[in-house]
Amino acid sequence: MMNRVREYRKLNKLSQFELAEAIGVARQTINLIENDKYNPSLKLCILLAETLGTDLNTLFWKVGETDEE
Amino acid sequence: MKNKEGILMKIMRYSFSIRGVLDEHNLQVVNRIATNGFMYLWIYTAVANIVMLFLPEAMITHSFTIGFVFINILVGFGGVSMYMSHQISKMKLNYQEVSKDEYPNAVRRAYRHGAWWGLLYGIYVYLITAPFNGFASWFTIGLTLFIIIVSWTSDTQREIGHIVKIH
Repeated sequence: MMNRVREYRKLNKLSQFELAEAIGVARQTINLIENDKYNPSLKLCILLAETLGTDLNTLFWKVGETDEE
Repeated sequence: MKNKEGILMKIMRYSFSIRGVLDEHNLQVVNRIATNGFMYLWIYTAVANIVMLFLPEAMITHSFTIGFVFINILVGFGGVSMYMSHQISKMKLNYQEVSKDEYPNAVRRAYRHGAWWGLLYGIYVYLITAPFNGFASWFTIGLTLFIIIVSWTSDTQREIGHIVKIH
């Protein structure tokens, strides 16, 4: 699963540590998600989308899918 | 997002110095390590006890039984503890990320953790040496105090080394 967490986190002027604190996860987990090394649960995806002020479809998509699809 | 921790998780967290937030990813890692540790222990327990069952009666002397118990402690407890500690270190679950303001508190916690471990190791060494050297002998008391101080300082040093300041 690909994501735009890093992009939206920077748009929101948040550091990895601040985002992790806001949603109650470890900073390493945010780092793993941003580097596509960990697929978060739906609950965490929703929390991330809410905290970053966006929706799930914008933030996450399947590998191989593009915006046009 | 924080999960409620059960008593076993709290024991594991304290025994293996798991620091920081146990979120879904870290919980998955801890569960994997714990499952592996349990499986090693399960296989060892089965093999060791089955072998013991089939040994000739003449071989099972008192000293042999004590040796069997010591090997069980060494392999079962020590081996699995070493495996778990190594894996937790490898996954950096024993690293604690704190802000500049929280650093002094984290250091104090490290001292307390070290003191607890020093005390536990001290009790362990005392219980092992006291039956052979006397419960109030200078050697037993001296060795126990030495182990307490060495364990306290080494554990505290390791714990402080695992505190990462985030700016």
